[in-house]
Amino acid sequence: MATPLTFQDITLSLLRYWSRMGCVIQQPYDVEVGAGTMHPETFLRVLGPEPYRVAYIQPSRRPADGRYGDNPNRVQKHYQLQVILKPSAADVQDLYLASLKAVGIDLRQHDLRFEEDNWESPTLGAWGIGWQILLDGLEITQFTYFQQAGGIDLQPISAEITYGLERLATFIANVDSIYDIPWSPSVTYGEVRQQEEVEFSRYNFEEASREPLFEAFKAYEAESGKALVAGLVLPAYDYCLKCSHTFNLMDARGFISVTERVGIIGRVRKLACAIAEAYLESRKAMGYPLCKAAPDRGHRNKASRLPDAEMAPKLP
Amino acid sequence: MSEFLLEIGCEEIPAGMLEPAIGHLRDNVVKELQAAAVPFGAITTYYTPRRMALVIDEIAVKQPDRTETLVGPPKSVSYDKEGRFTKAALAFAERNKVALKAICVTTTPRGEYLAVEKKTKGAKTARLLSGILPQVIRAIPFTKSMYWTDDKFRFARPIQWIVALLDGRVIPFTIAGVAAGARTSGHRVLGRKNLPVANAAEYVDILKKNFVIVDPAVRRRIIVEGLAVEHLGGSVRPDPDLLDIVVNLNEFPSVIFGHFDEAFLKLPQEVLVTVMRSHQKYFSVVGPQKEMRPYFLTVINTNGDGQGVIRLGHQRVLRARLADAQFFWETDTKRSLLERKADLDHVTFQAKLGTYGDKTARLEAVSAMIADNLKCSAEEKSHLKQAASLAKVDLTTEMVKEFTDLQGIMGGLYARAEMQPEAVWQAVYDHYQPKKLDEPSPRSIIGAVLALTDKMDSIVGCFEAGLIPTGTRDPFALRRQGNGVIKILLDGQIKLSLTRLIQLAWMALANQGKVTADRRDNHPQLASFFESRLRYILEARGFHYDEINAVINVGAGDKPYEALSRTEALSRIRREEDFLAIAAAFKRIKNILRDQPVVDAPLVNVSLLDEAAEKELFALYENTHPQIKTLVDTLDYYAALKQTAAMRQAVDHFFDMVLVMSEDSQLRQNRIHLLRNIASLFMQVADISEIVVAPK
Repeated sequence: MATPLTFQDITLSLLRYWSRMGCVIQQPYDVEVGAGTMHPETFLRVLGPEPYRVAYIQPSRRPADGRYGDNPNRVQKHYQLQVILKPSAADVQDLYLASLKAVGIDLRQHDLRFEEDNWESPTLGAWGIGWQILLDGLEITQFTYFQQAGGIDLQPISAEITYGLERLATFIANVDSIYDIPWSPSVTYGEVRQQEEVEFSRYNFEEASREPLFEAFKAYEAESGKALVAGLVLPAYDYCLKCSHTFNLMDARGFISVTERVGIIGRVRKLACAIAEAYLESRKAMGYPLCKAAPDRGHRNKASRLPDAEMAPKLP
Repeated sequence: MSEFLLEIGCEEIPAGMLEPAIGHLRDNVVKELQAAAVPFGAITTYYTPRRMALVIDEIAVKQPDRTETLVGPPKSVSYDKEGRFTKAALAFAERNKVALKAICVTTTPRGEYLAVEKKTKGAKTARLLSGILPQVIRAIPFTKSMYWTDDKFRFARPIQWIVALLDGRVIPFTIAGVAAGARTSGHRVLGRKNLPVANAAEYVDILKKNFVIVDPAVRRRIIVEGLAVEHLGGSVRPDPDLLDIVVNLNEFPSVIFGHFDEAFLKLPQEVLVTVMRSHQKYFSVVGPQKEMRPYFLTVINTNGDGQGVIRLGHQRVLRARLADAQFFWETDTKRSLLERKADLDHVTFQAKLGTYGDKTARLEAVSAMIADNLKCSAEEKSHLKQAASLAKVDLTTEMVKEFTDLQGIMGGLYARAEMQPEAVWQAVYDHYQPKKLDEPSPRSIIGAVLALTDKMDSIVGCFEAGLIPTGTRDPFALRRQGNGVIKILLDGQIKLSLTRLIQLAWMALANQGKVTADRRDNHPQLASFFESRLRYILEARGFHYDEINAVINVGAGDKPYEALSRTEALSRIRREEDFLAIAAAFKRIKNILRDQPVVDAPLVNVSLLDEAAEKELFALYENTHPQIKTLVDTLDYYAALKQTAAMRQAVDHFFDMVLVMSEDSQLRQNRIHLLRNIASLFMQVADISEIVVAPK
């Protein structure tokens, strides 16, 4: 039996595969985000008529998911590999399945299922329809046809494919814990990341301090609004993302009551929606530069993601 | 006669949407074919997550030819003096494109008119179908649908292919950019793509060869057989809802089992079952004492697990899930429920109705008053108080945030882990029950009181906040909670009136300033809401609508338990001959009284009783009246109805012998008073005039 792919082999193979499928290979966004969807290459690019294909890895931070490095499957930061096809392709499911072959998975040996899982991000005013994709009961991918982002109806529809890289790698390496994933042939995932998990779990759950975070949230919110007024959409979005992450951190720390939660989510959404509008306007003013270069790929259009940290409050 | 096959190939449609969708498709196809007068035979439907199909047997190749008589102008204006056609007649012929010689004269009830017989050749079914199919596919409603192409077409998930074959020939149409053809697709991994289908007859087999069991009944059988395990030291924990889901989640199901670490058996059974079921759709295995076994069963969408790798994968996933549940349990139990209680002040129940802290205060107050009404013991009251104060605390726990279905149950389990008295933790555990009509009510009286209080608070509160269920909209599941209230009252034989319960809930809300005093007028809406819940439950228990009407007509619906007893008595006695006769007689009495002015206290004057038959009836009334009253007071409704029915002879005799509408106004008035008394006696249990007497 061949040596299973390492974590870095998997990410490289997938990016190479999607590069062959015509994607721009982007880099992770350098602001803390809860999901690859929040990268401007997804949240903003799916707006408006311009076609786009992009793939990138996005470290995604969800403070509440921290487990002090103990749980074999949950971490406060994980890596998503995010693909956007805009418009979606008629054979997008097949493209996805072929990507699994590209990382050495023989589907004939496994139990593959597409189970209903619609995505909604109250903070981003975004939602879509899709599935979680299960391989032998393990959710390895979230697949979404984006319907709305920033409160704006989308046309064309984008397909979003979000691989949970740790999940996929535990599957491929046939290990019980993500910490046992071979990151490279000689170093494990745990050796690379465990200290980070322990320290951030402690910080997120025990040490993060209340007032400075609330103040930071307010400051980021104000800065985002200010940038927006100045017509600077992308800087405004950076601060919106910072608000979202600060909120997640405060939430994990238990600083936010359910009552406040709804209000804060509403404030971030308001920013996100205003930014989406402004972004669309800016692209329009530029004459939708990517429209003219669009090659005819002969596809019907379509769209996708992973659940955000700031899901709607799950109250009965 | 021909055979027709339609298959809509899709990306995976959610399990719960398939059955309703195929039902709509089938109904609409039937409707359209009937409207087009195309004869057809049996229709069979099939579906899997990736396809919805229907096969129509013995469908006619064309519509029948039709002949219709087209009527033109009156004969009188169609010929001139010379007997030649007038302009009107010529225009008629031209309009209908017929030769003049085809025109004849027809006689109608209105006189003689020109007419032509026009023959229309029936359209070919193939042509009709190419119009009907896109229309019926578009008309399928889904609870949630999506866009994916440029055209404004929505469906549950993108359509990938369409097969539409009439006797092997493609019916041409296009929907959402997909042209109907003659090729299907097998199982996503095991089967072939672009699979030619020659005709409807081979459809099921071709798919089977390509690892798709297209008939849901067959998939169900395979799964049920697979779940019948014997070697795991137990048997599958029955879960019909989960079974329905997995049948529609797979194209080629087989069942495998897996094992989990016995250390997890320390987690409560409820948690284990929920972890396995809600995220992973696994069935649990229970031993002879209903104890959990460290196994699970899962339905996989492939051709078995020869290497055992699939099992290992599922086991690994479950281990992580269970580890998470254990983490939740350990985190949650670090703080006692009492410590957590203050957190409820930060959890919103409903914007206008305050936090769960507010709700808890109301539960404590109202449940205590209901307990007083029910004459609960001091011990019960103290347990109830404790249960009410803890009931909602589990909403702050990680476990309930992750598994919302476990609300109440977790509170009960955590209370048990804290060594709270059994009565307390059980009441907390049960207080969301019953969520469905086939679920049990809370097992103890204090659980029942807590559940009633909680549901009444939500219902009355939401009505006051304007969140009244309409049509299919009932976001707070108030109807379900209303059913719960009625069911608890019936199951627990609790003789409280809804009016009283509404009043108590309302007062608690008013004391907190959540509702204003001038909104008392909402109560009629609440009364009719509960009346419809009561009707629903009585109908579900098999009572006839006329029995239910008869009981509700006398205002008995306010006390559901008594309403049930009355309805039972009525249902039992209605088959008896005396009863049917008295029901008929009562209808006659009501008809007479309908036109008479209502009198508050119709006193019968004995000295004015003239005829023997009326004296007899009055004497019987005087005698029976207190007996029936006593029987009704002791809820012995059957005996009360029996007594009523026993008056049959006297009533019949009265009508035979006595003329109510006497010329003498004093006699007449006295007789009407007598009948009014009889009528009110007859209404003691139910309005028996409502009972529909079936013709013999």
